[in-house]
Amino acid sequence: MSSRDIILGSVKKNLQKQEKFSSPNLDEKMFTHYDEPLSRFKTILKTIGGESKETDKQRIDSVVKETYPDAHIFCSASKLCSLSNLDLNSTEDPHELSNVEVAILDASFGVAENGTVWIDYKNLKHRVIHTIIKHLVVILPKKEIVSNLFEAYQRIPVKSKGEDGCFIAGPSKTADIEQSLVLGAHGHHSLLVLLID
Amino acid sequence: MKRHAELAKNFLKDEKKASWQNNALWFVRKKRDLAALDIKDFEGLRNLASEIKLHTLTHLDEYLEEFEKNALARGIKVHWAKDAKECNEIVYKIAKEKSVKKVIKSKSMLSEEIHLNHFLEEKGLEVVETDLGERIVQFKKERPSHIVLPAIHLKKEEVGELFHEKLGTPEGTSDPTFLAHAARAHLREKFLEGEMGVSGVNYGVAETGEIVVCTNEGNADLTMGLPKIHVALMGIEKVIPKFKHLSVFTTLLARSATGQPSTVFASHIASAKTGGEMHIILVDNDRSKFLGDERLFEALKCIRCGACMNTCPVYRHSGGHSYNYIIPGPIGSVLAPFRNYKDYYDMAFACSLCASCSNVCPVKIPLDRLLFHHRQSVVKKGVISGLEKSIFSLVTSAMLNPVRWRMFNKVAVFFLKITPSPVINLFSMGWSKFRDVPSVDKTFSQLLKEYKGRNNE
Repeated sequence: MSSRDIILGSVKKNLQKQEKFSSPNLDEKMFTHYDEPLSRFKTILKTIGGESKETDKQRIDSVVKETYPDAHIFCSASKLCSLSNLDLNSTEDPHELSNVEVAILDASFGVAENGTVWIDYKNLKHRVIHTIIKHLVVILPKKEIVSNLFEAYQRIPVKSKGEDGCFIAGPSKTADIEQSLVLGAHGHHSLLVLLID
Repeated sequence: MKRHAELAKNFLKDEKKASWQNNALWFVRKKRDLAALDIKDFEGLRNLASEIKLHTLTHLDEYLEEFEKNALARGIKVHWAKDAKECNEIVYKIAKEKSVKKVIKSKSMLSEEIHLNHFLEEKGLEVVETDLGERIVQFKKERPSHIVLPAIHLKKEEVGELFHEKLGTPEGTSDPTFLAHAARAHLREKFLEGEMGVSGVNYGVAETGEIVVCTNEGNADLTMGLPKIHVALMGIEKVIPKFKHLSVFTTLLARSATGQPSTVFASHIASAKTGGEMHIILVDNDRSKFLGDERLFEALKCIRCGACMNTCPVYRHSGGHSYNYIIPGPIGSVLAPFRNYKDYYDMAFACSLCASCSNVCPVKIPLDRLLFHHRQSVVKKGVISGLEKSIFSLVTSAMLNPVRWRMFNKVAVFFLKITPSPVINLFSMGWSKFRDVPSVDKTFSQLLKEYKGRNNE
């Protein structure tokens, strides 16, 4: 008998004595709704160590340059930023991305409740691009901010390979030494969310 | 084998450090409360999370099959391991087939449970833990003392000393930012060399066949995304039915664990990366046995947030290493004695039955009741000492009969009155180590009678 059959058999056997519980309904009303999701998003993002700037689509290149005047290697996966001097799609090996200083990515949407942005992996050849770099810039249309995670998960298409992705909340961090907060653990040291119309 | 009480005594020898740890953990508990209040209906979500888990666990075979089917459809390779040995062997086999020598790992309590690192190292592989806290305890050849804060038992000076020895940081440096960035540089090299990444799993979604991994440091994303091979270790209890159910657990997890609104990364992996391969190992290792216990099966609801540890007065004052099982604190003390009561029965007694753990648990495991249940079965199994047993049988027989009970009290009070306190302390089995037995000269019934008399006047 395969281990699969042994495990499933053991689960079934042990469950014989158990009363079965039914599946509960998810009630949207349990989740927090925000009348002004943008302002909540900005506040929470700040408290978790991220930064946001409202800007025009046309000004994205210059805002990124102004924010990181000393950076040399940029990798943009967004059509709205043309600063890329390392092309993600023509990079064969993700290890080569280790020297990237600033990555610029599009977020599909943001979540007001916890300050996260959703990065869809569908159009990213290498998933590590949001982690392996020093600074992360995310472009997020203001109207794409939902209140809570209930709404957020409805935005992600199931069964169309759309689930590959990541919620990102602020810069990577650790508090493993004496509970002292250190920004910039293994991933990005900083997160800048550019809010556009 | 040293027991919890003895190990705790050792931990408490360094009073300053013990008190620091107590405060640090209580601070995290307070942050958890603020994060919970930030949400409209945190209590409602806790109920919902519990109900989803109860439903899943009592239909676990169906959801495991659905999870497997959908993961396979995504091109993910699914393996089944009935125990620790089989899981370790599967990981090694995958590594061997691709001539892997260097393994990088992100946090997985399951890998600690099955001693994966030790197994792979014996086979000649290099295994590097990449979570900062895990790397620290790996350097120290210790086990984590907390499931979310693995190095909470160490002071920054100790980490500074360790990094001086292992990473060559300047002697006497103990600034956490400096040390964390030194670890980043060291581990970045390891990330770039790693040929296989091993991760844990926070949730496996049956509906989609994907896994979700939640971390703060970003080490899991590099572990899963850099090497060609990704192996995810998943306990069979980690499966949840629907994609939308993630909204409940993602809202609760980080708030309960550290008081953050979200972990920095909540990575949803539903397929192998470009040019890579992805494996999921579904591990039983006695989990299915819990399902057959009408009370203890609820322990499998656990989402490993660590909130029960942060709030537990016994954990905060005794430290994670005072518990012999790999998972300490209330949830560890519920899991361990069921797995092996001989080795771990003492953990059921590392508890004041205050129920604080049950009140913060995001999936509402009735931890205090399960610990009480363990105590009862442990006593039935006869692992307590003969002296304790005879005292309790004496008390029980007295309490079952009012005449005997009054008699028993009178005799006890008489002896307490005539015996000098140093002699009483000799028989108090540790109770009077830091306090005296209060002076008694009347029984409860006598006091009650007097009280009633006074009030009737």
